[in-house]
Amino acid sequence: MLILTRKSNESVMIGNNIEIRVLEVHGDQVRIGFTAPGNIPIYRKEVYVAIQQENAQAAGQSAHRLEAIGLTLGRELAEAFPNVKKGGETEMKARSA
Amino acid sequence: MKTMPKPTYAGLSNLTSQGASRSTLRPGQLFFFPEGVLAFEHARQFVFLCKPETAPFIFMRALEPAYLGFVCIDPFLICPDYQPRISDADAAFLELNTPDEALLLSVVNPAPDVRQTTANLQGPMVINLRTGRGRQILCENQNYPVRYAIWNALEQRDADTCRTPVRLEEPVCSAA
Repeated sequence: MLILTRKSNESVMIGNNIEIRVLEVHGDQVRIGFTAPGNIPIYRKEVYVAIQQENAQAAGQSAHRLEAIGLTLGRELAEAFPNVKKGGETEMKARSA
Repeated sequence: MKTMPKPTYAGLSNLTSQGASRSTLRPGQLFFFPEGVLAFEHARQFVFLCKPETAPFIFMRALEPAYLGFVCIDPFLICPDYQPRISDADAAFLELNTPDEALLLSVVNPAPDVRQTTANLQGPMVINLRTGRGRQILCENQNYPVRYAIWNALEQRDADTCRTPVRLEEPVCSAA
């Protein structure tokens, strides 16, 4: 890992078009500004990791298994909450019309 | 980060009541996620399948690898107060001109006990119905749960709906 020391309002460039600027240092908190092209998403790492793990866990291992899960969920939800299911069906019709 | 002009997006729940229904999910429409989705960066093309027997759940299926897929749900259906902000960068990436072009879907994490099934409100899939571009966005600075309990939320909603008539009847009872 490359380590650089920066003061408030000093920046680091990554390549030609990504700038990372230290805006403010306050105790153990640092405010950082990012300037990057729109196709480069910028995330807080803990949120990024949480979504990554959630996707991995939610992903179906096969189309067949996914279909079975969808059917079970749909049936169970329809039994517990008939209104929601009905709403869903109405939308399906509207969409295919 | 700036919010879109109107912080509401055409969820499936309100598509029927809006003009946006003309540009809804077409069967077989292919969506291109240039970056894939988190944890599956190589899966770029997806189709969304709506089947009446699995409603209100929707399938998000990858073309490659073919085994990959997710169960999704319209987040506005399970969380009426949901107001995710799409950053300017995300809106530009998705080529969104108006909020009506966007369709948001939450990834469902099915639990062995269906009542524990959750939906991810923090990182919704956003697709542009006009251009077919997609991205999983992260709602930065908005504290939506990654695991939002669907059954609990709907039970709560039903409880709220049921309480209303009781409240209305109270004055009638006391007057009698």
